[in-house]
Amino acid sequence: MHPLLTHPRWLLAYLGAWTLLSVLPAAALGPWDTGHGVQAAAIAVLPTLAFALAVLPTWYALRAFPLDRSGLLRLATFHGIAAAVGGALWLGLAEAAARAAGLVPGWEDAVQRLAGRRLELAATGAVFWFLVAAFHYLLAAMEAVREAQARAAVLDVRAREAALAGLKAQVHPHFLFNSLNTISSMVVRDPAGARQTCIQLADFLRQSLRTPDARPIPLSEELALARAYLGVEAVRLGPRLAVRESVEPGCEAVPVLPLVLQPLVENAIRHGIARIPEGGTLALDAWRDGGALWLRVTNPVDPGSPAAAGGGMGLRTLRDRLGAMYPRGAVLDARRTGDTFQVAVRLPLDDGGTDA
Amino acid sequence: MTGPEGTLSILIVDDEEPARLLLREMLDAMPDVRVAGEAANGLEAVGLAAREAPDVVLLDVQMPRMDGFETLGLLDPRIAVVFVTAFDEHALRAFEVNAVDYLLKPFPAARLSEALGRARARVGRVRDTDAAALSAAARPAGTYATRIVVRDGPRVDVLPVSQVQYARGQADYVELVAGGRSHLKQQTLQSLEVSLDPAQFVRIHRSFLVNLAFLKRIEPWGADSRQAVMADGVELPISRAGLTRLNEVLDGRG
Repeated sequence: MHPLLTHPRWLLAYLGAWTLLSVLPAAALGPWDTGHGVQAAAIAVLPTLAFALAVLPTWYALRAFPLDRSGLLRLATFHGIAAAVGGALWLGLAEAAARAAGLVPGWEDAVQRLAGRRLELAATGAVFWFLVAAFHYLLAAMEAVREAQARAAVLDVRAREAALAGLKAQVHPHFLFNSLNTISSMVVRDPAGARQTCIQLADFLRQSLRTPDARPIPLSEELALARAYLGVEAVRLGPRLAVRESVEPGCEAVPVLPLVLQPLVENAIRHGIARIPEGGTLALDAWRDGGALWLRVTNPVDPGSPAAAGGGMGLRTLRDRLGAMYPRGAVLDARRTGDTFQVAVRLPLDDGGTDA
Repeated sequence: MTGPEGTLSILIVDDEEPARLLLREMLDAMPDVRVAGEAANGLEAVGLAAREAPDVVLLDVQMPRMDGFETLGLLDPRIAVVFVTAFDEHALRAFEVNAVDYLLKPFPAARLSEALGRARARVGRVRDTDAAALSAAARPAGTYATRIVVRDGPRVDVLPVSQVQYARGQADYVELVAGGRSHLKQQTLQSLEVSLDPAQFVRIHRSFLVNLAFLKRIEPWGADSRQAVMADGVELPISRAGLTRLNEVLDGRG
């Protein structure tokens, strides 16, 4: 729909502006004595308004010739032809108006007034075309800005929702209550350990409950979060949980999507190690390779357990969040090989990571 | 087993050591109770319960390989079961399988004492749990079973359903054939059928439920009947209704 047609007040303003512009052809139609002034105005105004309405559909045609992407030759050809058509159109409308005016008693000579002025009138019509084109390009630009703003708002809301979903998936009630139970069990037999576990749980919760924004944080902060989580789980699972961490020097300062690592670690325990009676080793690796940071979490799974297709809810949420944060493509690869489950995430170093 | 007046013997089952230590600490401080043993998973629990014959089992819900609900299905029905869990999403299911009580971690000693009071009042009574309710409770709503636990005397086998080749119904027992071995379970074929994924297991006959992954071919048998030949060469009869169901599932797969 043409934007003017959706706003009646804009349409009135548009027609008002054209009424004023009809001064141009009216001037060409002189002389301006009392007898001819009204006649000239009638012959000039009506065709101008009709022209203004007739060219509204060019809104759609002009979209096919955007200024910034059309090429000079193509633009010049199109507008040259369009201006010629516009001039002819305006002249035709003026002829019709003059003939109609000629029917009014006393104005029988109206058609004669066009004689010898047709070239100037056609030129005015061509100028009018350029005004129409300029106006519509302006409208299109405004429309584009509005759409971009709306799109940015939607993306912002989506990013927030994804961040919140990430948070909810993060502090799982089972983890929270099991941890409290672990602390409760230590209070009498190991008060110092109880206090230590309390502190680790508090660290984990504090970092998890940060305001949900998608601003990148250094990998070191993500590692600290994962370690606080693993610290609490190590007390709960005892000797069943072993952790092997290998972080290449220099990686810790790399900015990453918040909550990119911790969900992987949590998955490895909840769906892997905690389901094996003897437990197992969780391996956490981070390294740089060319233009990317790699994070990888590996864990054993119980031999009898069914293969989870595509990972659970946590991995899906993370995949969505990666897509929003790294438009040029982060990779999340989850695979089970025999009784080993492994998730690798590749974060491009020169992508995302800005506040834009 | 003891009477309502005597000492209550209790079995602690939890895969987390701190949780077991906490229960033991609370129980040690209570009069008239005795800890009969501790188990770190369902398999251990079933064996220990058979040996010690406790009055009460304090049973964690989330455990590796066999969860609390599956474990309960293999315990002597005279044993009172108190579920212990970190989160209350299983409360309704616990009620359906006639657990005595349901404790949310962490809980105060008084709450544990109250649960044991209820258990004491129930001592000697047989827990009445319908096999179908138990089988349904053993998995979250809207999902299919991924494993079947089978008890053979003191021995417990956990069969992944993907390895079950077929099941034969015999009155209120089913014979499950998996990995070339045959296992008996007290359950009707119909309640087993509803717990399994219908795209994977098809009832080809009143008495036979087959896993399509092990179905090798369907061949004519007699004048106008068919029979199924399984991967290990066993031949099973297909009824008229069974053939219709089989065709529906196979066509649906494209």
